[in-house]
Amino acid sequence: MKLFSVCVLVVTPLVIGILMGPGFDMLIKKLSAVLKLFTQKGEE
Amino acid sequence: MKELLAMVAPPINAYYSGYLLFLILSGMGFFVGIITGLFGVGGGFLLVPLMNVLIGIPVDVAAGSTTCYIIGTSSSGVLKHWKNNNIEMKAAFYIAFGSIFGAVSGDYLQDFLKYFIAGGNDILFNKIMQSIFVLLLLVVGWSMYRKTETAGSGIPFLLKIHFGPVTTLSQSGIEGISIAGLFLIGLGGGLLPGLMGVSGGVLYLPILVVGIGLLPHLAVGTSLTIVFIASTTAVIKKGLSGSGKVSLPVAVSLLVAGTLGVKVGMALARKVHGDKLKRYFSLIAFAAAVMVFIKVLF
Repeated sequence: MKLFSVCVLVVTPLVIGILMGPGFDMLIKKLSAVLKLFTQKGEE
Repeated sequence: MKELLAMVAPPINAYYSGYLLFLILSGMGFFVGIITGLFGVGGGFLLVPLMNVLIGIPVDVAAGSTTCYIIGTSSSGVLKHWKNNNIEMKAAFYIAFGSIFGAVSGDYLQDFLKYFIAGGNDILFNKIMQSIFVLLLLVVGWSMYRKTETAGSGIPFLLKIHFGPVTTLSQSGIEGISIAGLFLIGLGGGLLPGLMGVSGGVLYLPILVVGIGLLPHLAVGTSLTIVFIASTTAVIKKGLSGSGKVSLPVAVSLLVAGTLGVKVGMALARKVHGDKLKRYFSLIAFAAAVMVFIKVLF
């Protein structure tokens, strides 16, 4: 149980850090690309 | 399940609870995240006294939860700096290796010094250690401020040490850095959490700039890498001891807004000139010294 709690204490902040850091950046990039695609199609 | 919950989310006695506590912690996390992004420090030297004085979270729980929070903020920062080639990997590895040894021996040294200096009195010993930390912060702030005034003059002190094997730092091209010197810097930084309840991250940035001669932006990425390795080791150590000093809900509350703060800080760091960055850091170090000094008095 101790070992499992250590895993939870280390992995949880690591996952949040990566998701909110580079993951968040990637999401914003993808969303802006999709948005751009839609506006281009709308103009056509 | 109950046992696991008691280990990762121990009950804490604070002035606030519920959503209000979450909001205050998020605000603190965002503010300290900006400082992490700007200067590559963990932020423990600010968060621990802030949480203790403003929210009433006990120092040991605040220190443990902050270490857990630092894993998250530093990991996202390290990835970003790694992509930008802003990390001196060899220096980070040797210093982190030393800090792990320091963290392990810090607790034993604390027990020894507590009886040797303060006769076993916990409160007196904490006050002595915090006073030493205030002095350390003042020296750090002053050395960074002075370096701004005399930028480019003198040889970094680690290049003057000719002891044991040496290494070359590939990113900055600095040659003849003593490996033992790097290890000793880590050892000193790693001793701090055990002795003074604060992370040694605040000291790494000035040492990397003044002691090794790294450019401030390279020093920020390297310092963040050391902080990441050291904080992960510290959380593993605290978790294995089963002391219940790490509160995951507190760490997560700090972290969600903290990672956004890191982004803001890193964007600001790209716009600020290296010399100005050092001057701002010296001001933060002076502010932290005042805050810890107030804590020593009351």
